[in-house]
Amino acid sequence: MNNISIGRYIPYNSKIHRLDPRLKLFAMVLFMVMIFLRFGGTDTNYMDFIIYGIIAIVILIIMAISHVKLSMLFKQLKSLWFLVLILFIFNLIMPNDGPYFLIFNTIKIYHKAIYDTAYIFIRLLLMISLTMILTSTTTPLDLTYAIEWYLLPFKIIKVPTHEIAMTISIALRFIPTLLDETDRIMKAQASRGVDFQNGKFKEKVRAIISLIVPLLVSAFQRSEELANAMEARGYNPGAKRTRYRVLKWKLLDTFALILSLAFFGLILYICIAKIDLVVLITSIVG
Amino acid sequence: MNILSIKDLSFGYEKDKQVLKNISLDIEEGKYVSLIGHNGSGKSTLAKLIVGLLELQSGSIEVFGEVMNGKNIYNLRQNIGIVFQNPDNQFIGATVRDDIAFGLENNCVPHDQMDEIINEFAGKVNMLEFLDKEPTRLSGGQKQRVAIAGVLAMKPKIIIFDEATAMLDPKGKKEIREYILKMKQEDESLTIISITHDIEEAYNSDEVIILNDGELYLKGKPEEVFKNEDKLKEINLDLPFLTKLKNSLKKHNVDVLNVKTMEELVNKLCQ
Amino acid sequence: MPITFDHVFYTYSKKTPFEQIGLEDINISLDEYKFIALVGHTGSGKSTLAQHITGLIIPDEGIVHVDEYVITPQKKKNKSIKKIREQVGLVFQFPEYQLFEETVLKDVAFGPKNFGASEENAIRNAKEALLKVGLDESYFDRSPFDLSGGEKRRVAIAGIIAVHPKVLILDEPTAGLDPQGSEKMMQLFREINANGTQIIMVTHDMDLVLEYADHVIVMKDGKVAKESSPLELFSSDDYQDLSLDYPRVFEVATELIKNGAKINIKNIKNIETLVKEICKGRDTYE
Repeated sequence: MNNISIGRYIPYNSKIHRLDPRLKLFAMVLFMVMIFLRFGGTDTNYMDFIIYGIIAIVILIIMAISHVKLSMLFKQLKSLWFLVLILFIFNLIMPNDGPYFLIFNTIKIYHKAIYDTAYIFIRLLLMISLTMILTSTTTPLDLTYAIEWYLLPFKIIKVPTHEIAMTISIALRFIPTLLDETDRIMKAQASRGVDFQNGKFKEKVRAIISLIVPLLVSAFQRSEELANAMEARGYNPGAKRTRYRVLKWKLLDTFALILSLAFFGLILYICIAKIDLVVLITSIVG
Repeated sequence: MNILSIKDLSFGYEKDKQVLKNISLDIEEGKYVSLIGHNGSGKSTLAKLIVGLLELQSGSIEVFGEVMNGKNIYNLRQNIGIVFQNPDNQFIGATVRDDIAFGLENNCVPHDQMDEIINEFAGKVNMLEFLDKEPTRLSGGQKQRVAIAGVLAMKPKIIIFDEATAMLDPKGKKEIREYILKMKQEDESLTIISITHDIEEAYNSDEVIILNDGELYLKGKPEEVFKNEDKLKEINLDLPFLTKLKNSLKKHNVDVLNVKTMEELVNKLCQ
Repeated sequence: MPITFDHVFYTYSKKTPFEQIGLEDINISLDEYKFIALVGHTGSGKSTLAQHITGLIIPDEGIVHVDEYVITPQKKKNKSIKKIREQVGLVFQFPEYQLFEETVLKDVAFGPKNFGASEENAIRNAKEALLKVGLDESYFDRSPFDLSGGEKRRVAIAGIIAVHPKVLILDEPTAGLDPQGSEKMMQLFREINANGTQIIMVTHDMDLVLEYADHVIVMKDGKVAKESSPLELFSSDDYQDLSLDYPRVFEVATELIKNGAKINIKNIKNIETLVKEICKGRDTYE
């Protein structure tokens, strides 16, 4: 249970860690848009790969600054190989045209199938790295505050932004506790002969029930006790309260914002103006 | 002065099943009161009524001479802190720092004063080095220390401990007990109500209240209450170790009933 | 039953920033003892050790032998884990959280059924077990969720002993019970033990260790710090260094001996035996 590392905050005092979560969330959106931009319309163009290469280099630099290790990324990928394989097979059987090569003189492998698979895979890889950087450098609580800040305009139409943020932060606080609890109940039921891995369908259903019912019972009890504890400490959802955690925008954040906007503008410009970097560079060098 | 005054209090979660029956008692300011009784005797229900987590059904509760009602509960509650049994289910913040801050936020303490208060009270329970730790990285005892800091930071006049050490290991239990005694020393006017199964703790408090089956069974100074051995045995309540030992010796015609401490007993036996 | 640990190592959250030693080079044999106490501070590895016996945790290195079966790091070789769990019952701390069936009887019969008992036998064993833990027919058809905390725990324990294990592992069975409840619970284990079931009890309560155990294993930082009879343990000079409690009667007895009383500390297990010794000493004295 303790081996889940995606979405886990890795405490470290890097520049990226210290950035304002609102900025990090915004930059993340910018990067996502960049990844979804396509250079050549619907057809995969080699320029797409060059752009991905540029984005990848930037991501690698951010990873280096924030002390997020590449090995962690590979750990996440382990479960993805299967997906890539399915993608590849799927692309193979799709009707295709254009250049191809043959295996065993019978199976046609289109260049485009390889291209498309690689394209989707790289896109996935970049998105995963981005999420990983965000979650490992930002505490869930800070993320919640950032989301709350972005939701603020909706307060006008009576969206209870504070309550939403409070709910999310408590949910986040209790995820590890509930994971531990799940682990404990699974072990307790395993001691009573439950096999969570093997068995017939009926037995599996039974196994799941023996896990879910106690988990729910305890979750309800926890929520009741938690509500009592909150109320006893003076929490009153409707009432005014002050804030301990206040997001503070620093010079570093402004600097990072300008950098990300500039980078975004550059990529956007390349894509819209369809600047073929290879042609451009060879013309400069030549 | 009576800081807490309960009159004819009855309560039931279901209609004809009374958990508390006609309880009347006064608690003096600055006393360390132990509330004991079997599981299900109504101790925790009483605590929840005192902090206003349950709505009164009949009878009344007076805090600082003010009768508790639906309107003044939020104000009265600022003077009463409670530490619950389960360390996990009362840890609200994402880190120690945030958890202590939670109560301050509710009481509208200005932001620029918070860090100072957090440091002060985290220091009182020796949790300064853990300020940025998440609850999953803390032991049960440490979590309870945070809970105490969170309660102390609100500067209450009464603190209720609802079996706050029941789920801890011996080391955690000892720690928490020491912190309770320390805070009592630092502020003599602080009133402590400790719901406990620890007979030794009850023996060392200023006053003992025993609940049985929802009724007030015995109340008084520990020496007096624990003198009523027959009455305690009648409801199968545990006796302090020394008393048990003395009783057992008595059965073998070794009369040591008038000794008060373990040392005296040892001396007497070795005369 | 022959239970041996052969150079067993285990690490929690291996290769993550939260890595923590669980067990380090454990070599023990739990064959000849009837009532074994596992003691040590929280996080010392006593529960980890207990969970290795029934294969709830698989060692990183080393072998655990249970009767004729083995548990090794090579998962494929661990085919008999279910057989081990049938012979070694494990009652977790706060076992009342594992209840999930509609009726008490069904819940207790869940274990036997999982281990292959017929419906009829499972119900018979469940009834037997419930009576053994002191819950009569009136409880059979009640919902386990309507019972008091102490009763729930009895149901959970019945759920384990209904499988008729040869060894019963108890992880702090009296935690959270009031003194009266604890005493009744220990009375139950004394009976089960007297009927030939070996008991391994994880506990912090040294009074119980002195009164019940014939062998103690002290864990510290994932290692076995000491292994001996309770008397030997409490009398040893280095016990103090472990900063664990002394049994209360033992403290009184040593105090008495220091002051010249003639009592044989070997005979002291609880208040009654202490008083007997005191009287014996006085008789010979007078």
